[in-house]
Amino acid sequence: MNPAEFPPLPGVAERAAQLTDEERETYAWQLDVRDFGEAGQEKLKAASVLISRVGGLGGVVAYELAAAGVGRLILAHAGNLKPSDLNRQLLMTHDWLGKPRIESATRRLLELNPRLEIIPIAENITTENADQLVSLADVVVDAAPMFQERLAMNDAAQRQGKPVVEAAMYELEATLTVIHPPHTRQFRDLVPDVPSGWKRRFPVLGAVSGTVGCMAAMETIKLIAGFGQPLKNRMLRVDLRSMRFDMIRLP
Amino acid sequence: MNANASIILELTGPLERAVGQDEVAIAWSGEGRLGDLLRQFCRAYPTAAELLGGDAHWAGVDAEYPAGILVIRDSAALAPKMETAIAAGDRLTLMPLISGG
Repeated sequence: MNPAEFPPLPGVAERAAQLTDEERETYAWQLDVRDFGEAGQEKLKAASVLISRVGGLGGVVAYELAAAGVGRLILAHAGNLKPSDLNRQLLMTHDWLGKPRIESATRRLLELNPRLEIIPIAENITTENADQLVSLADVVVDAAPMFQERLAMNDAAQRQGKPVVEAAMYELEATLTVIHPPHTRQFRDLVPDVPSGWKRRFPVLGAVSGTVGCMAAMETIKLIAGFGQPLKNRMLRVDLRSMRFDMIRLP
Repeated sequence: MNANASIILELTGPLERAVGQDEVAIAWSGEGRLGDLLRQFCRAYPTAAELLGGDAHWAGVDAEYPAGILVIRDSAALAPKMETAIAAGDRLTLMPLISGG
């Protein structure tokens, strides 16, 4: 591992707190993961992650991070639950139809991990709130369906030097990369402005969001704990129709 | 189509859906510019043009590189510039970045 390629996240190691006996028992299976261990778990406990939208993709990221023992999640997601959300948004339940999605997500995550601190924000990311929300986090996960949100959040993260896990899906395809200037190119090098032709509603199966959501959670854990090789300057493209996984070197 | 007189474009995501094929061949000879290839692709497949900026984007001679389009050769994304060099016989992947969440 080249340390210069994987700078430790500022403040996380300093804030790392000892695990309780209950936490050691809960995370016993992952404390044995090579290069992770108790030091990695303590960093997760001290870390804050902002997730932009907790629908199909971001909801799975949140669930995996809650299970892994991340200390604090800042969740940004507006709107009420609709029937058409239920094929993929695993933090939502049928009995919550018509109610705020952010409340369902919070409830489900705390059922899994009652030690988790959640800051629920019933808004999507905008140019108005991005700087404030990003300032609360060590790492940002981008799971928004609109490029306007992705651009606003990446701009804020770049201003504050925070890494962004960029995850996206369409039909049976998904992409994943980590944006962290100056260690990587900036998001606007790939998407300088809102591309034409992208539609708010897109075809997708829930198993696709689950797949890429788990991988995005793994990237987030690696960034926080400081191990492995995050997808910096590389983009993973997944085609689940053919089960083809391509690694693309970014310019 | 003769591989040495064409460029193969593999299409992904919404572009594959718009064209209705996962691969197309564009007649091409010698070396050239990526921007000219994209312009030719949009002419040949007008249903895909919206994802590359729309018809109006390509109407002028000074069109800029369309936002959010990656072109990949040999597992490496090419520089997203109109003047990026390409050549007959290339096999490229034309990949519009997606934002589903």
